[in-house]
Amino acid sequence: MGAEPVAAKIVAARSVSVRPAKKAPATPTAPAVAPQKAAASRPTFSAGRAGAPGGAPVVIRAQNLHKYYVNVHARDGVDLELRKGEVMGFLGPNGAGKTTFTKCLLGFIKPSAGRVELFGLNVHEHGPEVLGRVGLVPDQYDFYPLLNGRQVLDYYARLYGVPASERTARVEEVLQLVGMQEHARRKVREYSHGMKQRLCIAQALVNRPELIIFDEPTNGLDPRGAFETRELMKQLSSQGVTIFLNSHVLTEVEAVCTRVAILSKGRILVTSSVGDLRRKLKGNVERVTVTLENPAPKAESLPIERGIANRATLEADRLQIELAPGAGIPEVVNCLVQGGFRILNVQEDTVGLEQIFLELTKGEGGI
Amino acid sequence: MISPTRAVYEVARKEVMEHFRTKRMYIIGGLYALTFLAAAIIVPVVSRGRDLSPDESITQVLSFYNIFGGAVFTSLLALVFTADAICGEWKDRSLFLLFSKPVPRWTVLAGKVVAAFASVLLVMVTVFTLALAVMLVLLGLPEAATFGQIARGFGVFALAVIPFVAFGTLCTAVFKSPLTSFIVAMGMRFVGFSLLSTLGFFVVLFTAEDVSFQDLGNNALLKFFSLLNPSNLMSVGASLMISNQAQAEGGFGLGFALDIPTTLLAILFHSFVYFTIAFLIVGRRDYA
Repeated sequence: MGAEPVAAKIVAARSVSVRPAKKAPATPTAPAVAPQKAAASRPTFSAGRAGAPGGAPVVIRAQNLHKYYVNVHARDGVDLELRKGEVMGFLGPNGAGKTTFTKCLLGFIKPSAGRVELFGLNVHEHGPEVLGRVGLVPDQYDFYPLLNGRQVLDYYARLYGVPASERTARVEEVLQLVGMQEHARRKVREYSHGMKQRLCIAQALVNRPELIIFDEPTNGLDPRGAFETRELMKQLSSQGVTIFLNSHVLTEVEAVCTRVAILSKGRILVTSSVGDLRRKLKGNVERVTVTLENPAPKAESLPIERGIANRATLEADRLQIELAPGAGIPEVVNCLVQGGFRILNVQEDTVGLEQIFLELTKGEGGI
Repeated sequence: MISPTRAVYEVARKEVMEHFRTKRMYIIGGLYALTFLAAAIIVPVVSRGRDLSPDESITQVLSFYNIFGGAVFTSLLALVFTADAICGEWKDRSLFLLFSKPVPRWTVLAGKVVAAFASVLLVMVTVFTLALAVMLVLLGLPEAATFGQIARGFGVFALAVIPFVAFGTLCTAVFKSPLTSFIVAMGMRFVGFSLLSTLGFFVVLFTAEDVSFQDLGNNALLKFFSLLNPSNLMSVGASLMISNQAQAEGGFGLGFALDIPTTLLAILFHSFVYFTIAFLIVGRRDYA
């Protein structure tokens, strides 16, 4: 790949229209998505108790984990820790070792060196014991085409050891949770990819897992399905379920995850919260772009004079402001309105996860 | 977490449910039933002038049919059910999910083996019962002792299906492609095993000293090679079923007698070797 620096900053446009200055100063809000009405009517998922990750028990622990393959150079060890209730996004370029790590995590392959533990247990020694507490949504999978959705879930519930008295109710619960009740009687071979994806998520929930590993969970889903899956992940997280999300959809990781780990060439480049990463990458500087109806040179100097900006640049009707510490959008809006400017739009320039990812994995290979 | 026994049962239960929803089961099982019923109807008609008793007529049908049709269809079913049991799921990408469940891999394989055998057995019992009923209607009631003999022979015949189940399991564990697995399983069933047992004849002929053709039947090495063909074990069951001592001792052209203990030992040998290798492979392979 070319060594060209990432020039184009990916801006998460949390834009708010402020028209005109009569209105109260607006603050950036969450993406304009209506609260999902379906989510409210769906059953809650009571896997674990919500808890603060800080002192929470460790769910995933990888120590100096290595996996060597023939013709593949030795990889550095992977060290990773995920605590109960955390939602971790696992990112990395293609070939970085994400899938290998996931396989090691679940005990499908033995690491060449190092150790991996789930719930404090060595997964290779306590496979079934550990896997009973885990739900997996792999990126590549299929079901038994001659069975219907309900039978598939019933089969997995049996393998998880869900008691017979609860099994039917549990299957119905997860079917409802993923919105598949209507299609549960149809044979899996008649399912679309999106329906299979929902069924896959359902099977990962049927044992009420404490940890769910999602591998590209919204792959192939329509926008509504993808949104609902993200909402489901948030819902699960709020109920204390630990989530390990392996995804290429960085906006998804950004929306759902409390922490991200970026893997490259078999080693963890960074493990941090998205906010911390942003701050590191931007040097703790927040930027705001304000679109003015009546731009004038005074717009550049006014915020600096008021002490709310370190720097301000006006290009046409767009005023780019580098905020002073402690200053925020409301102060900027107040300052400009009091200075007689009419504001059309305020936009917080956020360094997106994509940019962070590209910066950190620059020169690390990939596609 | 469920017990291993429970896991085997759950896997087997689901597999049987699937087997009985496949077209292949009905095609092979249907052909098995049709040809068996045809034999039950045609053989007595053909031998009408010979004034046979019900016992003789029934044993004639069974001797005619079981050695040829029965052995072919039942072993075919056993191989069809097992040859893609693991590699088919691997190819279809359902294995990854299955292995992510809290059950040991060996229980998954064991469940599939149990299901394959149970399915074949179910088909065999159904078809056999149906054919027997037709024979009773057409040929009359045989003596009670004949039923005992038939049951004993059927038991050995059914057990002789296990080596085929085991071999199909071995193929599905060794090969990644279901097609390759199926071709190898079929190739061995219809050509390979026969060649193997024939090879024994030449080995004995060229290595043993002063062995007359008549003495071949007592040669242990030749017996061993003959037993390497699981089809021969089915022949023992068939011969016991018709209670034809001469044919049993002749081993239906094997050249030597095969008693039940030796046959069971051979079944055990085949099953142990194939299953051991298959379980070792499935337990260690990276299917992810």
